[in-house]
Amino acid sequence: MKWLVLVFFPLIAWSHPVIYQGGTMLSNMNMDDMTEAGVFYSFTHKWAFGAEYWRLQDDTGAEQELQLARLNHLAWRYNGPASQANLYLVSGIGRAEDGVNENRLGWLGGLETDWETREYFVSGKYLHLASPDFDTGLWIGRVGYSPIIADFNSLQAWVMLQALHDPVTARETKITPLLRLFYRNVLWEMGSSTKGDMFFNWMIHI
Amino acid sequence: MKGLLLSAALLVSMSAFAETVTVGVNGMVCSMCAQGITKKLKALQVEQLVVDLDNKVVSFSTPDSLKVTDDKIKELIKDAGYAVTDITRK
Repeated sequence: MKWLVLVFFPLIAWSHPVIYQGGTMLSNMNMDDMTEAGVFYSFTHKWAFGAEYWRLQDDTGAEQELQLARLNHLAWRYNGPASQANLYLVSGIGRAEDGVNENRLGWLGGLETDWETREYFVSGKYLHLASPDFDTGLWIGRVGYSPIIADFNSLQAWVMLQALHDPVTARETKITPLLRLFYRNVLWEMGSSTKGDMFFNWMIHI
Repeated sequence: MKGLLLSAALLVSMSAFAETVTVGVNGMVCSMCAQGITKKLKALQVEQLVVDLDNKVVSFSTPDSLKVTDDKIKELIKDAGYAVTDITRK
């Protein structure tokens, strides 16, 4: 079941799941035991749909592949003079195979919220995921600080601390310090958990 | 002669842009997310587009041939996910 948990771990690396109307978001994450590639199109500034591909590897080396269709919704947004806050509802359904079982149905539902200024960032997410033989929920939180407030077209740098807790499988909370960089429409994130798990993520808005 | 040509070019330039529009925008805290604002406004073919996160404004110039209404600006900024606070024209 580890792969099902891992499927949703990369969601914590993403920023807003819905962008401007007509915008397309490409994302890719690579870890030792996982590859993700996705494309999402925002058909309004409140709704986006997309498709994802996943390759996952569990402790035994067995691989899982997933193809998911996703629908994301911006349910609420506060645009303040110096801050922004958001609440998103996310859902997805798709096909999973593990080399033995094919065409299994899986789904996800959840919510994401964040508050940010140009200097501080806080986010929290709950994701519920299930298949015919699996059911769990993930709690994910992040805090971030930007030591240098950059101009619109300058390189932006953030240091962030991420916590992930999965109560169903009784995993310990994973703490991951990470560095987020973005320049114009391209974002990179690099981090290593306190246990030494590395990850690298990139995202492009077009 | 050089000065005369320069003055003429400046006059042509000034007359080509009828208006400078400054739009106050709330919520512009993430420059990557705010790229949508430039994409939306560039589609109108405005010129000299500047996003100023410090002062929370977007400014641009419009040529004589382009009429951009306040409602259109508000619509485009909303489609980008943000809220207009005020619009001034010079």
